[in-house]
Amino acid sequence: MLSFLVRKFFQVALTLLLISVVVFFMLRFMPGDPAQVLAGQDANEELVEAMRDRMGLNDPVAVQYLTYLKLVLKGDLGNSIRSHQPVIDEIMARLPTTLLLGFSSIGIALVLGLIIGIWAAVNVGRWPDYMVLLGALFGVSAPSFWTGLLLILVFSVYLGWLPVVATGDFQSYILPVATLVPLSLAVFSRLARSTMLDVLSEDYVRTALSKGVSGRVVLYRHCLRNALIPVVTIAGMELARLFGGVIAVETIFALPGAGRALVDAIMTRDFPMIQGLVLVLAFVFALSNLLVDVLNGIIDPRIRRR
Amino acid sequence: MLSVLKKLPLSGKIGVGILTVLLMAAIFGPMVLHDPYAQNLIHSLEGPSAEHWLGTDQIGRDLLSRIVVGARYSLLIGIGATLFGAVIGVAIGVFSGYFGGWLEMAMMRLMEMLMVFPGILIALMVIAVAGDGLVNVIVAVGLRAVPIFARLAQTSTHTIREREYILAAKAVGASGFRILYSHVLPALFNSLVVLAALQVATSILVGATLSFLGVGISPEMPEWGSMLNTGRRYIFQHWPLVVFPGLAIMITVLGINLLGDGLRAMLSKQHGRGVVLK
Repeated sequence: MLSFLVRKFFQVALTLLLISVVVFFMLRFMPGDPAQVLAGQDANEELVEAMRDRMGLNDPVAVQYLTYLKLVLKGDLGNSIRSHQPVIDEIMARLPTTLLLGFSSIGIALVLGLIIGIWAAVNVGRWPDYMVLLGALFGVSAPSFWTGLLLILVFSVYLGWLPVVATGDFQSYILPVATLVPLSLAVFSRLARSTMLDVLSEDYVRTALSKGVSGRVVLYRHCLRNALIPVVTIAGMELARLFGGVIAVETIFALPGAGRALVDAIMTRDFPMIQGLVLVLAFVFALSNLLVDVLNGIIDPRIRRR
Repeated sequence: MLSVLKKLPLSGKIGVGILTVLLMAAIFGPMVLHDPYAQNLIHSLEGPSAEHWLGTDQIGRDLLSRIVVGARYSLLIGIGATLFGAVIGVAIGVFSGYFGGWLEMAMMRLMEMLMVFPGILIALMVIAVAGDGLVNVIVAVGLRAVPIFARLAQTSTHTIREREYILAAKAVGASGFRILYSHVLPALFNSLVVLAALQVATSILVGATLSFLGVGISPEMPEWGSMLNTGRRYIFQHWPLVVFPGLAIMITVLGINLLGDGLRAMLSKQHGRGVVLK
């Protein structure tokens, strides 16, 4: 287990380093001269040149990258062009909302998806199975931002039960999470169902049943663990897919999250903000994938040796 | 073509039906319907009527014609992005999978890394660097699919390259490119078609999400995502604006998913050449 963890740790470290390189070069490809932006539109050529010198833009690229990396490691992501506040402060203020939305939705979808998938697999070819398959088909086809709008239409506009705009309490997270769950739920339940069907036809299941072990014990002791593996494996990718929905939900329900901040930064061309957000969000995804890998290593000992 | 249709399971046939209607509407619809850009402020935010079947939007444009024209953008983004991702991804995958060695290792590690990042984050980065515009949106959405195609092509090529017929082709002196082009690619075809169909669906969703967020595509364009973005401001007054464009997205994606699943079921039943589908 330890060597597995060490290996994973180095993989993630390498990923993070690569991300920092990509994000560093991203800024260089962006239109506009950052020195010109800081010096102001009508600054003369000398001032811009001096600015460029002071910002280190005349140094070799490798030196510039190392300087950037050193700043990032110290937690300095520069100042926002729009608010002149440190980028890192704004990101840290907004990240919890995004994380809360993402992780609670994926967690709920994972648990519900397993239950529903197993239920469908046990009832294969009967109405619960067809219902799950049909529901999953609609689940993967409806864009989550539309689901969110429909939920507002029904529960806020028509019934008036829940608030449209988030106020920060528990209630204001019900509709956002309900918006995000269906897509992942559909993916998880479909995968859990098909894996479960495979597992149920395995020899060791037949052996256990013919030995007289009760169906319930076989299901939970022998099958669940095996059905869990592929579902947890794709949880990392599902979290990534969910992120589009998270940004949309932050937009629809006016939740001050990091995803919406990124879109706003792109619209106002706030480059330090874009760079910082992409870096931090990419870090978050790399780390959550590490978490998924470790979880999988715990569930399935075979993975650790690979 | 017709024999393929016959062999598709029922769900696949329904998918083909939905897509045919959609394609017809996208091509011929604008000829018989209202002008999707014609404004009429007196008739703004009207409910469904004989004149305007789905009613009108906030500046009196006919909602139905805008949705029908919107099909063009969605299909263009979905198919264009998938083609972009498939061409680059398959090239990377087949090349590295066939020649193997450290190139394969490095490429696949890179693709695995890319795969864990949200498609929308990659797309937003591209738009941030390249700016708005339909072509940029297609590239931005397509880039997301590159590692997915690359990985499929790579793993399949890796298993194919040890087969006898490849060894035979090598023995008679065929060049690497010739083997890739005339022996490896055809063997990949089936699984690539299924993946491509499903990727069109995902690409449409990512593209629509982008324009819903107001990024990439001008809000004037009758694109479904951006129609919903405008419509959500009128959610209290006029529900059709937030219901019908989304319904159009869902039906389109549903049709493509049905077709993709149907193709997968059909092809995995067929034995013979090709790589076994998952």
